Amino acid sequence: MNKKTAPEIFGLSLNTILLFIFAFSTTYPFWHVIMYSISDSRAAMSGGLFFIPRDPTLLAYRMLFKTKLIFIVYRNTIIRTVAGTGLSVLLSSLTAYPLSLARFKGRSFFSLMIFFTMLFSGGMIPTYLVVKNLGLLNSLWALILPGAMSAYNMFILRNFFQSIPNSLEESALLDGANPLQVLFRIILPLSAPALAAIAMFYGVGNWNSYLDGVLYINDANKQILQVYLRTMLGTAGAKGVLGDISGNLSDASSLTEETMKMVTITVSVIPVLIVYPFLQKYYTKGILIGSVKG
Amino acid sequence: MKNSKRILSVALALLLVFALAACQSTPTTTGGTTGATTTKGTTATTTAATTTTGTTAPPEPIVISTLHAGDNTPNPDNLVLQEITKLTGYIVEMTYVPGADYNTKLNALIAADDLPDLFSLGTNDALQMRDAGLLTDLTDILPANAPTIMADVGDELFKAPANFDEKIYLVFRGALGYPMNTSIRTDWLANVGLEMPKNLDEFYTVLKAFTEDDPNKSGKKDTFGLAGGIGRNYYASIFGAYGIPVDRNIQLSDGTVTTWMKHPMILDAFEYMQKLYKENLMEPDFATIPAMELFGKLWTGVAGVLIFQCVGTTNNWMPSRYTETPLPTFGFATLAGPGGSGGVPTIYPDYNSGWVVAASCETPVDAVKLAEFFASDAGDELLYLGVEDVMFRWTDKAAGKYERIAPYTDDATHRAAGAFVYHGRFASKNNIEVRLFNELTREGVALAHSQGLPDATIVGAFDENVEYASALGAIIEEAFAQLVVTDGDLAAEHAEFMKQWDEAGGTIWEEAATAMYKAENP
Repeated sequence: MNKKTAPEIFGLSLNTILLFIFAFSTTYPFWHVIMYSISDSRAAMSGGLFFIPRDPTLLAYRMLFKTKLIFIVYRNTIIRTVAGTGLSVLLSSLTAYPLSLARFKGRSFFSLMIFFTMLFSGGMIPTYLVVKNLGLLNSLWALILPGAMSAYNMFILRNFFQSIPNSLEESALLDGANPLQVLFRIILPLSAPALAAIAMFYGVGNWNSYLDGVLYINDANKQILQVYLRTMLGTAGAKGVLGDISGNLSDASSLTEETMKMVTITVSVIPVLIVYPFLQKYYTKGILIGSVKG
Repeated sequence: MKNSKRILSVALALLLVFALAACQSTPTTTGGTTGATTTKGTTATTTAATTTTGTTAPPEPIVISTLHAGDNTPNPDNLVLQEITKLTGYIVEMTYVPGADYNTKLNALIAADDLPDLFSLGTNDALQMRDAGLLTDLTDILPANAPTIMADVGDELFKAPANFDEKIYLVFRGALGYPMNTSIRTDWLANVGLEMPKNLDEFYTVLKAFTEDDPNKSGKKDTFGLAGGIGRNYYASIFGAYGIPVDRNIQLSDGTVTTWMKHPMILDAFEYMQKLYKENLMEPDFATIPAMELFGKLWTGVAGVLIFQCVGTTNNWMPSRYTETPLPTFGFATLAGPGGSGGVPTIYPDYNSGWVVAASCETPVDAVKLAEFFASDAGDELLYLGVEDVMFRWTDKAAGKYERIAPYTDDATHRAAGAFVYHGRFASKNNIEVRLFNELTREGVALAHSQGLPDATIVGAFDENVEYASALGAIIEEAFAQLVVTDGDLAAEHAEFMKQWDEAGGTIWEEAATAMYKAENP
């Protein structure tokens, strides 16, 4: 019954091997980073592939999590990601909905104005001046508000809203719903895939953001994870070339810059990697949504 | 189901509200011991260190803001900042920026007219900001308020291009960089029955023995002589034996200032390098090997010689970086060449970067006094080692011996508490780092400083350098790697590279550099 022929077996085997190589080449770098990060620095210096850790140790992680600042910056980054993503999705929805309505006069004009910002941004210094003059420096608002709405994501959402049949909205209006009720009770529940996709875009963007932390935050109590991790690289980096005298007495002195890099990457990427599989299907969908209508 | 959805919605909404509430800006409290919130720019001229008596209210502490480039992670309310306040009366509002983004941050602050009181600059930026009236003229303030700094660099301040018009705007640090040493494993020398080499021939013999005579007694051929990378400094003493200061300008006999690659002895030096390369006595992948990996060859006992600052080989890497038991031992060689002498590139003060005081600083005298404290022995020790008897204690101060006090025994905690991370910008010639060297390293640094080769270093900036230096440097780098490995006609290939160099702007650069050098050295 259904016995496979030799060419079929060959084809399947070839596919399996190719897919295995492809899967290995995409997953190994992550594995390598994690294994390196929990290997002893000196053992890791010999290079080569890392299928298992060499002389396993959590010294680098202990060094990273030894100070209270790491917890502060994690807290700030989580707050910024949650608040920023929530606010961004809300603002994008509130903007996208009217722009998706054919009856809204001037929607082309407003769309064009928003599209313009995708081509020309204000630039770093003018944006800094705006943030400063609004009194937002040294607050997490400075990290959230300037990028609270992405024109790209708004257009993705607008296009999705446009794909929802008008009759649903008309029925709700006939039943006495006002536009806000239509948005929150009809449109948004039907737009879960699009909302999840842009929430992921915003979330990953907020989590990975770095330069705004450098520019707008002077107080270390308000600093974010990516800036902190950048400086941690230097802690080992300074030792990498010359070290410092104090290194003689510390357990961290046996750490190399490479190990700290691996730890930094792991700490930064793992949270995103954990969330990603749950949202991945929306990611693809979100991209497709943007390509359906212009 | 409906209820759980509602509960979830309410929970998410609350989470969002709490998160947004947490974003509010709070008044900045700095590392003062009293925890008092103060405002920047207080114009009081007396510091809180001046004690007050009776019912007189103590003067409000002066806040001095600084921008510090660094790659560490100090806590905002750390012990060192608190101690600075205790000792000086100044509250230091320290903004700490990753080194790579310092200029980005500074540009934003300049544009926003929001400069810190005390910060670091390079010459070009300093000149532009000076001309724009953004910097304080320290000509009168510095001598009157900073005796330590004046004793350290006062005689040379006008050598900094930013101060060429004999007005002080930029103050460079007295601390020098470290010159190159030829560090050779003495335990391996003993194993192969050789003495410390004194010239290039003996050096060749040592490298050959380290490669072929089983210097680590492993019974295997698992070692080689010289570790090194693409950086020319890894071969500084070899070229130095021919009188060539690598990566420096030289002056030819006709007075022309040009690249070290045009030194009359350059082909002889490359012939020697080729011999090492072709006989596998040096790192075979020198052109591509990353720095950490090449150091690893020394740390793991694969290579026996490294031409590098001995502060690394015999001090900071010792013992933790070395993997062998017992630990390797090192000595330093001075390699004489055909002329009977040798050397390494001379280390000069960094005239092209230093600290400045913003014109917007309301208390420039206090900013200078704070810099003076940082440069003093007490301030220097505090910035480097932390708070005495809290974070560390001296066991033999004269010998530079100390011990860390728990929980500051590891670097992460130590630096989070503010030690080491602010050190450097104000360091004097005999700063704490130098005073803590072990004896061998002190000897090595002194030896290398004493072997400085003459060169034609130009301190000031000139347009042709800005325009051509990058392209010319790329040609030199390519030429270096090629001339070491080539099997072709060395002289012809060298001539071809120098022709490329000339045509890529080298001739124009030479004319400008010669004029500039003569102007600086009349």
